Amino acid sequence: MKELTKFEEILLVVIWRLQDDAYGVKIRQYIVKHLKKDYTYGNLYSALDQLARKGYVEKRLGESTKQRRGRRKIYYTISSEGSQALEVAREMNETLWEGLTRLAFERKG
Amino acid sequence: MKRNSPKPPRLAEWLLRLFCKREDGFSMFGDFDEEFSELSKTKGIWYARRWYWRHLSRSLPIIVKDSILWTVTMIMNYLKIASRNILKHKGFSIINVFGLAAGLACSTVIILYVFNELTYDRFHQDAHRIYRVAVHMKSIGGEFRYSSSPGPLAPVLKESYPQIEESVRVIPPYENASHVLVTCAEKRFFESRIYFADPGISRVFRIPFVYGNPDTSLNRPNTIILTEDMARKYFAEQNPIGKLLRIEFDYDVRPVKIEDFEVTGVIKNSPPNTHLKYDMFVSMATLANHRPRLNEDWTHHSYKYTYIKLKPDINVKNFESQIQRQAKLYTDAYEKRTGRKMELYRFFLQPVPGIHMYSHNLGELEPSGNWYYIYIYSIVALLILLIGCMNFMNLSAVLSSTRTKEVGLRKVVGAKRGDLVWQFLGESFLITVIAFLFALLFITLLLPLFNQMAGTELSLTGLKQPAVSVSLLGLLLLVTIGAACYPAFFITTFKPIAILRGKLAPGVKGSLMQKIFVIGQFAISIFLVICTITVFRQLDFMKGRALGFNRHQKLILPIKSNLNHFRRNYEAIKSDFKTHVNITGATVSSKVAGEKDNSGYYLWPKNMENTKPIRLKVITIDFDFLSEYGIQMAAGRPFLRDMGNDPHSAFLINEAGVKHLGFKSAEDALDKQFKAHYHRKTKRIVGVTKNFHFLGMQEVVEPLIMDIENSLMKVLTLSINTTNIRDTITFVKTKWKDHFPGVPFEYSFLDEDFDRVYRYEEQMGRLLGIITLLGISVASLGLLGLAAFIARMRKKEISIRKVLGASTANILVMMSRQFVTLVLTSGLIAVPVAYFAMNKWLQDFAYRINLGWFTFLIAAASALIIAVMAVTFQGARSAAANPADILRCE
Repeated sequence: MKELTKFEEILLVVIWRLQDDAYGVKIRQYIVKHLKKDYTYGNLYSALDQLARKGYVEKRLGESTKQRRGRRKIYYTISSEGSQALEVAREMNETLWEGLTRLAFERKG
Repeated sequence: MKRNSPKPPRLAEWLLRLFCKREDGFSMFGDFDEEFSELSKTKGIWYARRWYWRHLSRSLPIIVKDSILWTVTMIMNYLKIASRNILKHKGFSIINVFGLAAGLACSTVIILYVFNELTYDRFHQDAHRIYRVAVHMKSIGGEFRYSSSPGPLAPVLKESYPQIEESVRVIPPYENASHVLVTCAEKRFFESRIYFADPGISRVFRIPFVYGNPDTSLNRPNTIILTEDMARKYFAEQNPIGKLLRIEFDYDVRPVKIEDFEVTGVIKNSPPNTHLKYDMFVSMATLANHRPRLNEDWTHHSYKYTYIKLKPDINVKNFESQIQRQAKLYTDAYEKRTGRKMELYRFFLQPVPGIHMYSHNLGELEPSGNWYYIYIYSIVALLILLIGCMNFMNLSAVLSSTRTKEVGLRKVVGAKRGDLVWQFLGESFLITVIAFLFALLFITLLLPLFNQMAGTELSLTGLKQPAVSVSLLGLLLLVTIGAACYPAFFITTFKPIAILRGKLAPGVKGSLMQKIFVIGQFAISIFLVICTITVFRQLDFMKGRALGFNRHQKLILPIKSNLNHFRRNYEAIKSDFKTHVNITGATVSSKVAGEKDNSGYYLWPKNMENTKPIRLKVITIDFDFLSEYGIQMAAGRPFLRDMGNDPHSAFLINEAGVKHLGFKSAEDALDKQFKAHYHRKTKRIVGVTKNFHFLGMQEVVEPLIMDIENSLMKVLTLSINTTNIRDTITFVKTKWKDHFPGVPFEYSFLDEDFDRVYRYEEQMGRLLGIITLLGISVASLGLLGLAAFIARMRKKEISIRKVLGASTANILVMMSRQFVTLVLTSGLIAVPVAYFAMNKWLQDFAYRINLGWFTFLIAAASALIIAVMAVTFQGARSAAANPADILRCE
């Protein structure tokens, strides 16, 4: 299994967190709000396509609202491969950071 | 509520939709809208708009990148399918590509040829303002239009008419200037494209200079400008400015002038598409020294060409009528010189770009273009292209009917009809382009051959002309669309469900179209075969017995220098050449077969010099001419040495001459006496020869008079036998050096020279031959393909027939019957058309063959045989197959 890129990892985590509300606007706003990164929809959909092609996320056609002027949402959910990949990424992160406290890191810097 | 849902900026949204080609684009648009409306609620409409724009501009690059990626992916898929299809049906693809390539190659060459012909002299700067002054005259000799005009005309016009920006005279040293000897140290060559020109030449034609000053280079006597090729020929890579060339002008009637010329300029080579093709220009001041009366002499008219460049916005008709005043200068001079009246003499202006195709005056610098052949070639190219296209259409139609399943599946997966149309168009474009690449390869290989055959200087660089490339592109698109129209617009309309259920059996539809195409291809082929056979039969006829003289094994040595020595001593020179065992005879004359030459005698019956003279073309010959050329006598006797005084007292005429002089029969003409204007001698007709066609048989044989007049002799003919020709020529060369030291040795064979008389016919015959061969092979390959396809479709039927007891022969008959009918039908169409066309073509010949039914029979029969062979070949394969193998799966 190929390793996830940082952006893919972020997207998967955000989709996981948003659960049933994971569609374009919400995903983007979550990232902007919590990670202070202003990704555009261009980047977003391009990366989501990659994830879908790799089979990490599944697409589901959603409803539409007046605000969206009749355009339907696409909801993303994480597939089992996706959660596996996320699990691997998390383990890698934890192994990498194990034993390093934030304090120790700050002292070094 | 409406107030609460402001619309996002329309232009931005349009841009977004323009670039985002993904299927689920709606969700992105929705996201944009949602966020936009939230922002406009919380932060106001202007902030939201700004956000929309900013976000869009940051998103676009990646969106564009993605959509390109998608398009490329689809195209790659189409290409993959297309190449699989091409490879899966290798045989069909080869037929397709070959047929199309042949057609495209022919049409490309013809396009190049036609454009070359039609763009003659259009490249000059301000070409529309450049005119040649030509002359329309009517006198006692007849009515003529001459390309040439009197010598002083150009300067007089320039002086008297402010409308003229510049004028120039271009004058070749002699009438058929094929022999100006140019020397530079060891290098000695005869040059033919050499002219005297006024300094204005560079201003009228804007000839680009490489070295030297365009304005002053031809101002002084004895200066010369050369083309780059000539500069390289004589001076290698050095800059030739200031160097000297020695030139020998051997004027027929004046003493030979041998002078040194200073090179004052080097110009670009003469383009291939100009009627005035030059290698060197010598200053007019030189000619004025050689002929002191050049600038006053209005009476001499021949081969002096006057070009003028008008100032912008001059009314040409008006100007033309103004210059008629100068005509009087000529008519006065003429009437004073001859004492006869000039009935009509007027100047007319010919636009230079039109000279090649539209001017058919006497004394053109080079033969004019011929619309007739442009039409014929265009039609023929179109025909072969049509055969190739029909192949392509037919085969892609039958092939695509095997692809209905693919079409059905693509539709199920979501392809729209438009996508499929594009796919098929793309595929046929791919094949067309591949075919075109092959065509270019063919052309590169065959263009030199074509140029040699057609006497043209075409090159592939001609493709760079916008008009040429645009018409080629149009041709490609036309072929593409033509070939793809059946699959693209017919199959794609099928309902997927019907296709996938197998309701539409492949190959059912379009069989009428197949028949029409086969008929069309074979009709064209049969037509071409008939034309080719007819052209070659006519050529054969015109080269054969009917010519009236023997043109084989004749070595021609034109004498271009030392003419005086030759004319005085030709009998001695002849016998010197005849010492070689393989040289069986020698004769001298003023011209030989195949040479266009207008010289003639004006003749008065003895003691009737006040009457109107009769003009006969003249050929001066020696005692041996008639026997060497195998020309038969109709009455009287040939020139005989032992009659004593023949050179001074005897004429011969030909049978046409008998009629022209008004005698009832050849016997009637004998012993009549005439006086000729040229030598003012009165001679007696001692014999009448049968007609012989020195100028080919396109035209009625010319009335001719012959006498022994040494001052006109300029060709030596040696009759040789075929043993060891090389050795003979070496001998001739050494002897040549003895008699004509320092003169380059040039020789030719009469039959080759003479065949040039039939240049156009020969060219057309060969071209037709090649195209016919191509056409037939393409058509029969197509038929082979079609038969193969049908055999494959019907293999089960054939197997069942075999099981039920049909013999191989039965099956073959069954399979060929359909095609035989088709070919016979095409024969019925082709024969009348060909008969009509060839009959029309033959009308141009004064002496022609009859269109025998045999030709038509051969053409139709050969088409039939080829067709039956193709079908039988395929049928035999399926008939030989074991029925058990084919039927097993059922």
